[in-house]
Amino acid sequence: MSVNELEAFRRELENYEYGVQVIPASPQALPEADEAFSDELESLLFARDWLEQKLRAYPENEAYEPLVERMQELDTLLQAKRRLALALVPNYPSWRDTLKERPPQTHWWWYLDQIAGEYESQQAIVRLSADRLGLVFDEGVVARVGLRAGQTVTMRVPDDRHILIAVSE
Amino acid sequence: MTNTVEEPWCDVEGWLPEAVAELVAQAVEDYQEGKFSRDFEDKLADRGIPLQAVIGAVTSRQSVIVEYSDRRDGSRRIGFWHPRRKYFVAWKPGAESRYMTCFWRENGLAYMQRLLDSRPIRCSERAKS
Repeated sequence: MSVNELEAFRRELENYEYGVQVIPASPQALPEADEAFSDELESLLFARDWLEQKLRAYPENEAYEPLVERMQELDTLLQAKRRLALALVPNYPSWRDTLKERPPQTHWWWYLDQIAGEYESQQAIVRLSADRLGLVFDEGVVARVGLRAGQTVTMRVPDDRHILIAVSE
Repeated sequence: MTNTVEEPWCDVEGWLPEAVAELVAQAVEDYQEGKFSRDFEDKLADRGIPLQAVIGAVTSRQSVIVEYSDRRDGSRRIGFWHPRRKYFVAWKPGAESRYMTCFWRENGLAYMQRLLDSRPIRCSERAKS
């Protein structure tokens, strides 16, 4: 694998990351969603396919390892945001029918509408970049604690089991 | 499923050069008038793509041009992909014309081929090689 191939992998990972990030984080944000959302989702799906293809072509390549870790975090985030993506693109299930080759079930990103219970209460912390973390909660949790989209919060890690979130008005 | 290109896609005879020139002229006019989707310029900044790269992809004779449909609402789109710089630009033509998005794409031909109702308008020799 050449340096160019690694760079291409990194840039397609960035495309995947961008696509995941343009999916709104809460139902309240849906009306403000990206008007080019279908182009961005199309790009996300292509990027994820491309990354998968490279990982299968070079399964033992250590150069990919830190990037794969990031990809898996984004996978978690995409699964957690899937219902919001589907709200923006109600005809998403028909997208896979328009491809010449139907995606295999292992390419779960083409089957977000079929992901069942196991992700319904998905809560995770994902690293977004060197200095940012993302907390993923389902809508029920967010509603129960009264968080709003756009609200400013500060976080503190008091011990190795808890994160304290201070909410500003 | 693969992201490879079926070569015949690019062998299809595209539009007449005069029609391509007219299309590009419309896209250039939109660029000059700043007809961009709401988040377009923010996206470019987030992605580290200079605005000039957009017009570069649109006007370069090396760029591959594709006509396709938006998967959400079926509206018409034109895509430009520069085979050396690898920027893909999505432009919405017509009455509500504007630039929709722009991103880097390693294998732009494979991406364009997979778009909904994808039809090549122009395919450069450089892109095929």
